[in-house]
Amino acid sequence: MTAQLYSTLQDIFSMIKKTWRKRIVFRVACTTIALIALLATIGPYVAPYPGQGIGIEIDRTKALQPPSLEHLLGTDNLGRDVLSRILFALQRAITSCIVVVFISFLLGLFVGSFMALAPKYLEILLSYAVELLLALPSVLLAALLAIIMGGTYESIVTALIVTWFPWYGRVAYLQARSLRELDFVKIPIYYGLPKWYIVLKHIAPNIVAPMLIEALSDMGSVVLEISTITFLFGIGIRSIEEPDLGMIIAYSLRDLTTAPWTFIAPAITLTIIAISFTLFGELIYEQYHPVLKKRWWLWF
Amino acid sequence: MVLVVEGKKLCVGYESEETALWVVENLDIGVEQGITYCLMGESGCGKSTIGNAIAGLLPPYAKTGGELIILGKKVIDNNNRMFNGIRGKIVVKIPQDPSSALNPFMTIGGQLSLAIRNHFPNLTDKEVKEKTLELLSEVRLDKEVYDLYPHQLSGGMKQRAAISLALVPEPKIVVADEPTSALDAYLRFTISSLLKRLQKEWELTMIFITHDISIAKHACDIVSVIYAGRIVELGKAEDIFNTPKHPYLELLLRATPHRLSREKLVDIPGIPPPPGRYPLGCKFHPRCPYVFDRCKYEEPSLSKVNNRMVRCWRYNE
Amino acid sequence: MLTLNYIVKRFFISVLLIFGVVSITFVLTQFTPGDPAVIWAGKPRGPGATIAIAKAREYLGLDLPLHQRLALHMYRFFVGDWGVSVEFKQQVLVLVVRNFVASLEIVVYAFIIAMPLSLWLGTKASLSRGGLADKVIYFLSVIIAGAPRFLIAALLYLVLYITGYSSLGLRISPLYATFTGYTGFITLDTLLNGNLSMFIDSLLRILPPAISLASYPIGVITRVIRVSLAETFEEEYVRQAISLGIPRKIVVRKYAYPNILSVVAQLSGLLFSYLLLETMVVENVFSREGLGTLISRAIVASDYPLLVGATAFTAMVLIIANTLADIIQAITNPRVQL
Repeated sequence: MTAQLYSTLQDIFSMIKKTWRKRIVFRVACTTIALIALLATIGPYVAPYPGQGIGIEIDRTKALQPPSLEHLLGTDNLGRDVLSRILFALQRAITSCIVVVFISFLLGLFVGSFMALAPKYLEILLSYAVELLLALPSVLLAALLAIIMGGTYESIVTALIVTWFPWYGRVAYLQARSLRELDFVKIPIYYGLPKWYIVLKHIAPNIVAPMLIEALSDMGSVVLEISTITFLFGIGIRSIEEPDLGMIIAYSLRDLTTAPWTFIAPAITLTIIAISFTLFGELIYEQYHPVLKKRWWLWF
Repeated sequence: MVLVVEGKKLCVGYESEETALWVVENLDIGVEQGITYCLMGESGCGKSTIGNAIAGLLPPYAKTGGELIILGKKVIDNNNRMFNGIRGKIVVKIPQDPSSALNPFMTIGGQLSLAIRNHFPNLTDKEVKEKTLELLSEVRLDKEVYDLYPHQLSGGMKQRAAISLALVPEPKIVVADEPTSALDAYLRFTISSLLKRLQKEWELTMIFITHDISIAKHACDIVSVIYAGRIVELGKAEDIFNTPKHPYLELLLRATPHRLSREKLVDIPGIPPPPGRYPLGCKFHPRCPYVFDRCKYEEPSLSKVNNRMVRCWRYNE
Repeated sequence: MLTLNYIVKRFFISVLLIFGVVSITFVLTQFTPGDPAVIWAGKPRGPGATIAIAKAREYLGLDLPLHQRLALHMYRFFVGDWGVSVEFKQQVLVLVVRNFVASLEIVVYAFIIAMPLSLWLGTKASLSRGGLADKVIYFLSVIIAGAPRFLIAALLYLVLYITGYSSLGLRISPLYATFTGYTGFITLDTLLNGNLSMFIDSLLRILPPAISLASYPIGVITRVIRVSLAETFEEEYVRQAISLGIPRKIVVRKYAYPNILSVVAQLSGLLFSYLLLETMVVENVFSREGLGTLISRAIVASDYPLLVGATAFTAMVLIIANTLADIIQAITNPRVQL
């Protein structure tokens, strides 16, 4: 199985390499993503004012200062360095986003593939369940779960996983369905090999590659969604000191007209994250789309 | 005789991001007025490309070389293609698959009227409708078809509709790209008879692209056999199939079932070479049963043998 | 008749899905971890808590056998008794519908703004494929769709503030108390009441949030149309039309556009779901009442009945919207028999 994993990764790498060669914008997007990943990992360690970043220290005397040499992005209403705040919040946003996407992806992949191999009644039942889950609005579900689960960050993560994995599940199901007619799947079934083994060894490796690219692209949307939920409802934040992109933005709205940098800095950060991931996925898609590849002037 | 379509050392190729290759190289072609000229060959031999070139329907990323002259006007001059005023007016193309040639969202009458109005802007609505109905009857379609949508027609009717659409601009030259290939066997003769009749009545010059020998015999006057982008044999339809000269044609006839004949079918070994990988010398030599040394290094030119043109060293001393 | 088949099937599935939503609400109200009655009563504390919990227990019928509870729940669902809001002390359904409609108004206007604009931009982009217009339109649409809704809303708000119109985003002004609302759509209601000046005023008020919200569908639909049109131009019948000399405008209008209808319909269904949630963000920035404000207060007050009701209602609306979009998509799809 490691061999198949390796070859899938190779497929993905070759797709990335090809698009890298062909479009400059793609290179920009990829470097941005790498930068984001880097900042997310080392952010808290390079933040100029780590105490303020994490929210422990505040300095009301220095509140709402515009960007300067001391505070590259200015200070917020409690005198905290905006740059440090963003760096801490970034790590949080990216880690939770990775958790959501990773789990939904795996869950969707296996549920979807399993659905294709399951007996008919189970298949119908599961696809009905998937459609039902797809109809649930994520934001409202997060609010609901917040009450049940006591308003923790986990409620957001759970709500998002529940609403995201059906998407992957559906894609995986459709792909697996076309695979199940092929001999290399039919024969093991006939021989009575356990279903989970077939899914793991034969089906999953074949459908993973394009789905992974989409999953990477989805990360942008997930970050946006998490920030939207925290922005609107402040779920999962135990105190307003904690750094979270959504919360930072929500509180900065109060001073929007007097200190716009407190809003613009985190908002632009989110924008850049979202756009980079989206562009990543879209440009790879364009590269492999048979029609759009032809870049010629229309002949009429 | 006046040559309606004349190609001199015509080359057509395609360029994509990875490769650039010539499909047709140095083709010399001459079609006389009022004749049905058949381009015959297997899939991938370049006949469709030639047809598209003549109809002015080569995509912008195609490359051309040589010359193509239609009715005295140079339409292809090296890599320049000047089909304005020719494409869609003097030369039209009848496509292979009628289903994809008709707009699925408009009625047959609607599409015809649109094309007619576009071509003859001075007609009144009544005249446009008359003309539409006239065209429909020319292709032997009922008046009721006017209000039908393409998906409501059968394959044969769709092909007739596509033909009527192509005839709207009252062209002089019609390129029919495998018009019968998408149809059932019994329809093929109906459609090819229709085309033959139309050709006589409207005095069209028809370029008939097909791989079906019996259709070629039935509907065409002159047949040219294409292999690897080159004409390998050219002659009258009634002669060429009875006494084939080029080895390719010979083998082709032996591999094709003739009705009422119980001869064993003999397969031609090998496959036609893809563009860009044409062999040196005679393009057919790897599969030719009569091959000898000269064939491998020198490409024969088209030479006259009796009433035929053949491209083969066996006749070319 | 393949399409009729499909429509019936789709309708049937949507009914089943709605039943599914009812079941989910059943599970969510009766089988929460901990004591369902406590949660339903809004986690009350202090005096009166035990009474509230007892009332909730009675309402939920927790002492009744399961099938009775299920029947009761189903009956209540379809009759409209979705419980009483802990925070607002009103019928949940009434509250939800009222606020939902307020948000829906913005979504509708966002679509009205986005559709023609996207069509125009998408067409322009696909006609100059690979050229300057194409690249510019593509990147602009990526940026305005990728930017979070609160950024665009905030920027618009700033503009309005600087030009002195910052109260424009507010939904109502004191003048509005003088008419009866029929639909809950303020713009429609003022029109129906015959009050033209108020109509124009309400229209102006809804523009800033609607425009901010419209940025997302504009970005997405433009790109989808761009790709779909590009694919359509490759079709044989389009080439035939071009070769017959039919002018470009007509080819685009009569040959290409009908081909992309189904894709746009399906996309709109998906977008609708997403937009409904994004509206809450826009409302927040412009301080408007709507679904977002309702939910915020509900969370703070642990108003469980309200949240369950809001989720169920939204889910149902989404199911209906997606079903409609699917049906339109099937009808206009040229691959299947028209």
